[in-house]
Amino acid sequence: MPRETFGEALKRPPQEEITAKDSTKPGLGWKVSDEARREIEEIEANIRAAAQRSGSVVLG
Amino acid sequence: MDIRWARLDDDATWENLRKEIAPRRDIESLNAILTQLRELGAKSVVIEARYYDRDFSAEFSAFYSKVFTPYSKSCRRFHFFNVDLSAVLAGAPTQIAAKLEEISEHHDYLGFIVVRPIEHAPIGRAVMGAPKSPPDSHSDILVRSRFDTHVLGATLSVVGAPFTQQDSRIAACAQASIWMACRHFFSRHGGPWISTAYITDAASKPTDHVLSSALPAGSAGLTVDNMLRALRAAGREPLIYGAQFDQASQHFAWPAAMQPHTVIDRYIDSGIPVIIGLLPWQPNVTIWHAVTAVGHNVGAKLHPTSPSGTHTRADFCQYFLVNDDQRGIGLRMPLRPGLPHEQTPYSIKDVVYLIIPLPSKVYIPAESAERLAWDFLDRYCTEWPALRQAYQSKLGASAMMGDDFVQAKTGKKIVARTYLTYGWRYRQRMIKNTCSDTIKEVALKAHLPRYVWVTEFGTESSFSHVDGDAIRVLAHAVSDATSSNFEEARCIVHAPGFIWHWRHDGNAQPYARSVDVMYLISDDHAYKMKVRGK
Repeated sequence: MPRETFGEALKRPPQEEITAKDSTKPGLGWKVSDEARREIEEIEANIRAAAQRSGSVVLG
Repeated sequence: MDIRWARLDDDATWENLRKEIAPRRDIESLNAILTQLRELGAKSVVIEARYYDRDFSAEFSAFYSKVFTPYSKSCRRFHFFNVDLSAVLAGAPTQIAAKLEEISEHHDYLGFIVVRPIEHAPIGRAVMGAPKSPPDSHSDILVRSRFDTHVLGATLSVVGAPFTQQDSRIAACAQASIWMACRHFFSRHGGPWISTAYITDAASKPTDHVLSSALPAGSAGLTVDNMLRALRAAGREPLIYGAQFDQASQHFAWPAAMQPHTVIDRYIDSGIPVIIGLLPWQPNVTIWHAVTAVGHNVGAKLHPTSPSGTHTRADFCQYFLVNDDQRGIGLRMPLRPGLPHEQTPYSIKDVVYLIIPLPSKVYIPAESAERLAWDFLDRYCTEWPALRQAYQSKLGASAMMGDDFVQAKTGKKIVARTYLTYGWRYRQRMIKNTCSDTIKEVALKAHLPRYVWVTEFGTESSFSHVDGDAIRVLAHAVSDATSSNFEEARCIVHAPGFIWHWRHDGNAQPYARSVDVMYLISDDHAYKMKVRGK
């Protein structure tokens, strides 16, 4: 037998949600572009390269 | 009696104070600190002539107790006030304590200096409030926390970034820069308390030939590897950025998408100190140097640096405020040549390494989060005509706001500002902000991770203010800082007329993804940016 849920849901003023069910509406399902993915990979590759170069520099 | 005091009312008294701290040497960092205190209006100093300092006790235990020359472990502590204390100190004990606390509450306690009994390196530690801003600009210590001191029965508080002068007998700028970062984490976030001696010890496990090239080991400096080990031992997750050495020009250069001033500003704006590695900046300087960036000075004018037109808040900065263990507290390091109020012999062009002591659980760097935010904004602007048409009847004034925003984006007038914050803190700020109730409702109910990257977007004109309270934000994106390339990092995005929220789809097992939900905002309007400390 399903357990009864304790408490009640927080009631807030209703907001009109547009979800994937409304597939004809624009504005949903925007994925990260390939260009952004490539640039993020470049950013992180540069960080990795810096770490490889830096080891023996003495800061004094 | 172990307590003394003096009025600081003329040049002679200030000079006597300087000699009291450093009788036989000219210490550059001490001169800078006293000048700064004078600019802040210091009128009185109270001196605890016998003060046992936990940091110096650690250094004494690790080194000075072991040498033949006798050294004292007793330090002195100097407290500075911008009021004349003569009437206060003549009162009854209860009144002295109460009045001093009142002075502290009114921010008239300017800070303190702990003076070591070491002639060549007297400044054990010091904390002071923000330095005075040059005209038409605002200097802000962004990496700041509250330091309490106890004197004459009163608890006094100062907010600032801690400073230490390197004691070159046992350590170098590398240890000092790490100490300044870690002491902030101790006082602000309950991180471990660590001494300079602990830093050297942690950095030398395992030891190497560089450490062993000086006695005691590590006193001539640390390698970047050594520094990273010490930061890991202090519980941080350090991330390193570096310029590339170009063999042809024999110069270091940063990638266009990763200019050091933008990187530094994103992290210090998150309250994270940035350890800056500097090249020898003049022919007569032979060693590399490390300082800790703790704040910035901003003007009202944008100085574009990105060829692609993706401006950042750092493009409004004129100087970074750095704690330089050899030169002083909150010194203005210039970001462009020819700035009139520079206080360091080096500038942003000499920066070749950045070490960011991140908290654990931050798995994407600031630049990746900001790139994600720009990507969504690009898509919004591309799709704007379709969005505007599809939802025209419900957008109200938001339609015009969207038109203006897209026009500003096309004209490369959009400015981004990215910082790390707690998920709960983002929610708290948005609910208190002046944004639309639709945004507040989403922020109220959203399930957010411990750390989020927030990118605020405005226009060049909405960001062109020295006073942060006057700046207005038109869009923002929230990314999960604990995410990675393998997941959807987007949490919330607001752009004129719309707010998107990605929520975990608990029904789609076993590899549940986030699903996006969109809400319309009628009559959308601009709102306040995050201002540190408010």
